[in-house]
Amino acid sequence: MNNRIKELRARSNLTQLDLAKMVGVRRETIVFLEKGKYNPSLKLAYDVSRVFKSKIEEVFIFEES
Amino acid sequence: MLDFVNFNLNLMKKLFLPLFIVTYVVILSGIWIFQTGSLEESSSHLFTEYFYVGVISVFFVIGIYIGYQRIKRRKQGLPEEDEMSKRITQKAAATSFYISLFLWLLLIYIQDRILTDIRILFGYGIIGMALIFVISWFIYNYKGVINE
Repeated sequence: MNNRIKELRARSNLTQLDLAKMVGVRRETIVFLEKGKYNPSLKLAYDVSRVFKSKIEEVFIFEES
Repeated sequence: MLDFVNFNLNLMKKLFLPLFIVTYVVILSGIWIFQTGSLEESSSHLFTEYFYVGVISVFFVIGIYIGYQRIKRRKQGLPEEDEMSKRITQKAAATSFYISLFLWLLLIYIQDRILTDIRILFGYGIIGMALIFVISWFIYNYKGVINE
């Protein structure tokens, strides 16, 4: 699963720390999400998407393996 | 009122439990080293005892580091734990349990051949399990958990 968190975060002028605070996770979780090393729960995916005022599928891109 | 009590209990659990465990281990190790006279030249299992002290020291440093990180996160307004850290701990626990089964099989196999003292065998087993957990935790912390 890929995502556009880094791109959207840069566009919104948010740091990883800001985003982490807004969605209530540790900064490391945001780092791992951006690197694609962690697949978030549905709740976290929803929270992150809501910060960027986007739909989940616009932030997280599912790929058939 | 009940919320306040719950909040304080959670704070105690998250911040002070690791520090309590570290202190507990250090006190027990201190008693073991200074009361039993381990680490003396005459001790017959000097290598084993230095190994135990080395591993316990590593755990002590890691415990202090984790406690420090948690306090730092709290000051930044971030949670000490989140879904990813919980998933990493769960995955490390599952992996280390699986590997530990093989460790115990190996220890049982060598029991009659190399290590005859059952206490040392248990010591290696327990310390080995803890080491495997810590190594698994660091690997998952570095590699991440994808779950695809």
